[in-house]
Amino acid sequence: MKILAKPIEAAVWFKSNEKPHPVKFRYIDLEGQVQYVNVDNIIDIKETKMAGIKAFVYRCQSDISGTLMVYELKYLVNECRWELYKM
Amino acid sequence: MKTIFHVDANSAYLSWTAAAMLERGYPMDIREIPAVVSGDPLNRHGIILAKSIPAKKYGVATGQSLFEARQKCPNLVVFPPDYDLYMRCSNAMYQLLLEYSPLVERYSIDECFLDYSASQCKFGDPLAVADEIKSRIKDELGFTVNIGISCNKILAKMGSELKKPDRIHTLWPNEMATKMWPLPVGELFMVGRATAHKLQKINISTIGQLASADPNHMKALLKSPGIAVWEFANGIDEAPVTLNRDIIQKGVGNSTTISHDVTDRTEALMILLALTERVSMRLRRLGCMASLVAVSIKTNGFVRYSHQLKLPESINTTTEIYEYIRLLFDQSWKGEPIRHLGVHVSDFQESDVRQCSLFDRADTERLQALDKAVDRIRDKYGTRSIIRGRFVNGYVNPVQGGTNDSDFIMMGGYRQ
Repeated sequence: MKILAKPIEAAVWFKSNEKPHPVKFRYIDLEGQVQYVNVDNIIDIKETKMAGIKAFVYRCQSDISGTLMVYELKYLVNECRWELYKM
Repeated sequence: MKTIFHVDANSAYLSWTAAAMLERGYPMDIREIPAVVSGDPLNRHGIILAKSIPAKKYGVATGQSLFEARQKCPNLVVFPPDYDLYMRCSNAMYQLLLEYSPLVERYSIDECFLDYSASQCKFGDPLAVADEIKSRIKDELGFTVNIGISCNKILAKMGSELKKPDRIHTLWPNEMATKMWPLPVGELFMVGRATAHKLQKINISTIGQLASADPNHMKALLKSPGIAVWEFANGIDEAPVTLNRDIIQKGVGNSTTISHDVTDRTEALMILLALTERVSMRLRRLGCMASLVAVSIKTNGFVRYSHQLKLPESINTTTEIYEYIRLLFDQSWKGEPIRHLGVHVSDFQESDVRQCSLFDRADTERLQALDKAVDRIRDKYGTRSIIRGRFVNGYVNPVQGGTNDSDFIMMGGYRQ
């Protein structure tokens, strides 16, 4: 997986006592096409503080254009935004 | 015997920039190419703030001008400073260190002293814990540190200055002779270029030679710092690790390098007023009043002079301090083009209760109430939410001095 760190638009489920749970998101792929992805499976969630930036990194798995892919989403806590971190 | 750690981030500004850029998907680690962090040369802030180890090999040094550095290394990659990032990295490092001891002193943005003495019974061997701290900072925060371990602050600090980067060094008193004394005297804390030159003249070129010199001789040569320097060379330092909130601040000052040479008195006074705004705000935040006011001026020919005045009373309102600043400026400025201006206050009285005098201004209480209101508005809505009328529609920044509205940590303490 390569670090992309691309800002994304995401639909997220904020549960009562748990960390936010991404449901689906969209991003622009290398060919410039908008891709819609449903987050099928969250493998694990890690808290990171790289360069002092507090974030949660979600390792996820989804079916993207017929291929089962593992990727990482990142929630930047201070900025309140989501990134497609690695793919 | 105490156990003190000195934790020092390696090329702090550069490695913090590198860590943040890697997180954003930058294709290379800028620590591995000739790279520097530098201010903007167009604003005359173009000096090197940090350099990578490959850049150091070309002879690029901190404090050099960017122009000079580019001549030494034509393929130098330059990045602007990001003080918000540096604050975040420094805070993250400080928070991590607090997990190991409640006694952590932030000595500057990239250095902390940690008193490990009481933590030893909980965490165990200092060397193993230092290794854990170093690895955790590297893995969790993305940058490397040097850790010096010893029985006091000076030896811990000298220990962390030994071989870099990403190392742990012990410098116990019995290791001084092998690890510290062979080093050039200029490497010792508090020995700058001028002191090293004076010592060189009497044939003291290593720390060991200074340690074996006569302390009275050092006092005669270097005045009062002479004893301190001699004690440091012998690894003597009684200063405890002190929480920043307990450090007594003796003075407050701010200065600025102006993007052009100022020749007009009105403009210079506006800049001084903007600096006074910052200085007096900081003074009031400390809850102090000052009775010594000083102005410093650097001309376009890099000649520097200052002028100070001891007041019969203690003051802390912006208007009153500025009146003295204006007086000092008019008395000292000889009309040369100005490159750099500074305002400094000291001789504190540690309370904001004011001694009345027969010669007080009539509006002192009003000024104090005004400053109190302005400070509250600025704390709540930002420093520039309320400004003096004379700055409106002008190009002079209404509050000057300091970085990130003065929350940035430099040597010797800050708001905590």
